[in-house]
Amino acid sequence: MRLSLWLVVISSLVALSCTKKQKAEYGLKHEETLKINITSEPPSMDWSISTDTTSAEIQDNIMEGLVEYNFSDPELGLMPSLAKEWTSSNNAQTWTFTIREGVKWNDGKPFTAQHVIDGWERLLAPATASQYAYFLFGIKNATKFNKGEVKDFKDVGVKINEKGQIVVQLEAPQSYFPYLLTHHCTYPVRLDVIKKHGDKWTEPKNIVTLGPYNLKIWDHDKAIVLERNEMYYGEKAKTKNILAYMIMEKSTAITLFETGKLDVQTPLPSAELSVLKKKPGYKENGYLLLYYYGMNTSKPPMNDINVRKAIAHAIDRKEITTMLSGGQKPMTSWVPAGMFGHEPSVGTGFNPGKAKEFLAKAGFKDPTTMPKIELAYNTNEDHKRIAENVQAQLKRNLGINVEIKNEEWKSYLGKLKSDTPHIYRMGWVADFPDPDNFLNLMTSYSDNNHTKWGNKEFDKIINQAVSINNKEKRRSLYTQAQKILTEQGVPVIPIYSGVKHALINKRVKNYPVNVMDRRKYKKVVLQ
Amino acid sequence: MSNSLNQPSRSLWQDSIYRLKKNKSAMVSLYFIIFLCIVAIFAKFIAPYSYETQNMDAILQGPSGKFWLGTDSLGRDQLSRLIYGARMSMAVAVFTAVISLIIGSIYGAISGWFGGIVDRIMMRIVDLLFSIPTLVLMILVKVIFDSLDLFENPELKALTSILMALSLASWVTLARVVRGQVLQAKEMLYVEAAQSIGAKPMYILWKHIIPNIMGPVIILLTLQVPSNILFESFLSFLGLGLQPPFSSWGVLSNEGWALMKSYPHLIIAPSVAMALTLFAFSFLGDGLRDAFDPKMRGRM
Repeated sequence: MRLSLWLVVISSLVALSCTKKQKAEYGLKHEETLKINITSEPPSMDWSISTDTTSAEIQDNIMEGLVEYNFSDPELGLMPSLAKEWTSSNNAQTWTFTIREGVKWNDGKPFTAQHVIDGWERLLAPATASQYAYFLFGIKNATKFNKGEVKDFKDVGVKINEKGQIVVQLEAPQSYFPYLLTHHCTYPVRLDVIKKHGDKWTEPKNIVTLGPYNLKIWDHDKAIVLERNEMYYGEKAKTKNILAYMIMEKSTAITLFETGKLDVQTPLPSAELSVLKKKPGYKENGYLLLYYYGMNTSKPPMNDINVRKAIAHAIDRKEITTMLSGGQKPMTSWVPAGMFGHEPSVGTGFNPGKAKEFLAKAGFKDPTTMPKIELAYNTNEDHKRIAENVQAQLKRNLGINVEIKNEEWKSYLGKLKSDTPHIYRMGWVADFPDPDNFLNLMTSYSDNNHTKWGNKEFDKIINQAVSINNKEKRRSLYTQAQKILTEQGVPVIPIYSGVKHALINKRVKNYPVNVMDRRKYKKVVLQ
Repeated sequence: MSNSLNQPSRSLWQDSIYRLKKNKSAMVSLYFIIFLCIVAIFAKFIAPYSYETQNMDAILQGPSGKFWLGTDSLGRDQLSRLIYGARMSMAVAVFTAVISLIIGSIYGAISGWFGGIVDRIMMRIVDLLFSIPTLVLMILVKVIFDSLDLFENPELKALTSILMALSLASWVTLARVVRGQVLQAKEMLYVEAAQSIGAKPMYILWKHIIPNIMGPVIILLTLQVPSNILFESFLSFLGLGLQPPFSSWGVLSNEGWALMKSYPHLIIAPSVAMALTLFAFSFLGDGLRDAFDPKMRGRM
């Protein structure tokens, strides 16, 4: 047995040293390669399907949408991308997009409006089962098409007019509609490529894209190499290559950063922030992230509203943010700080006395009679630290024992869909800077709502608020919705709104830092 | 002749213990292990704090008068976690050894004593288990026991699955050794002599076979204990071992390793504790081997 242990250790060391050698190579030159860390293997490179930020980071660099954020604008406006210009008419219920001419895919074929329509049809098609389908539910008949009630996509409110423009007919006015088109799920697709290669269409040798970078190498579970797309229609990318490693352990990544093998490392381990803050290249910026715990409201004992309220009351968010000490803001409401609709007074805040009352009301006067509760998180040092703190808080404030389980990201997402644990960790980064993006998440029909909770009134308010142009009226509706979510139904426990911490090598200039945490590297210059 | 007459008469056991006592490194190790066991058993009274009490005002502090070994990333006292960790690590190591001893010796003894077709079938099963990589076998057993939910007590619950995983993976080695020893011992002339004067099988097993095979078995056990400690830490390191908030030396090393660069105090304590324990068991094992070896008789 001793021997076998040594064999394991030695063989893993050998394997490690081999992969390291391989990693440093890929035939790239240091001066023209930006080396980043995307932490893990992207679950899917298919932009109609993927739902995570790891995949999005790559997709945002190899693809583009009709419009794009203008981060130099403090109001966060939009600027043209694949669409040259766009106009709205009929009180923001009809949108017309003029397609940019002369754009080519990297296989030489010209980009057309039809590719955009194909992308949307694919996103909405029931067979695709994309969790982001609801993004376009504002389009006329899109919901019905997604449910299979409307079979022909011609009946959905998207047309190409005689001028070659895309005309979108919405069910109701939606002032933020163009913002949706900055997201990867609405990017155009090449159906001919997908048809030809099936599931393998996202492999480097098959994929066809039109963004500033091409997917050159995808060494699964190790690294991804992006290379400048010379056929890109706009200003070509400043840096020739991007080498994206998949290094889960932050301490390993920081060591690599210090030896110059990584140019950027983000996020940073919360436990080491006090030390890392003193390093040159340390950057901190707030962004629209909500860190929350969800509860499976169909699984006893979480099906009891009193149990959920007890747990929400028993968690002191401030203790968590103090522990993290990275500038995060404790939250009890749903819309994160720095966004329209943020209402800090709403929610089920820390109150151990009330927590015990609710637990007793649920029939657990003696907390040891509570059935087993599982708290799940995806493997990550920080999530673990928070989970352990929540576990200790629930024991201290309620006297209940919670079991912590962790799983790797890909299988964790699968588990949330198939067998949602009692309590699970999740985060949400804004796809577009509007409260609708956060509140829509918890509608009964949202595929990203794993809590099994649904409230008709809540759904109604969300649908209503979208089409209202009066800002104050809209705000009050969102406040009302947040009250239903975090005070009445309590399927979720908001924890904090996020801050991004990064270490950036001084040779990297123009690194994209923004509240949306979109990382498009085409402007990055290496010195 | 006169030389042997001057020596006091001693039984096999007494002789071995006498020789063990003369071996200084083995005795120091033995005392160390006894000390460790006492610490592990009375962890509740020795540890200055609880292993799970978090103190947000004292996160990641270095060693001080209040926290002798500093605190971890959740403000828990490292010394207390080390002491409770000793409890978990030792419990895993010792109980695993005992469980695998019981299963292994009974299995091995039956196989060796009866021989023939019984032996062949039983040993093929052992071969089969041997052919499965240890880690895979452990993970399988652990997953099964995790889903069973045998105990209500969270501490016991956390321990059982890992205990079972380790024992079920390690009894096979023991069964093989015991079988070999029994096979050898039952052919001995003294067994034949005992049989010829009408001794019952149980008597022979107890009086002749067990004392004669005990030596190698005990040695194997002392060697298995450290490898169990290592394996537990290995599993915890992979995230398959004990789940939070429990601490073991493996869990502590894993946590300390992640923060090694900024807060080295977190990795030093569990590593030193683990290294000392492994040394102690190794030295004791060596000492026992020398003590039980009949060829060493009278050399010390």
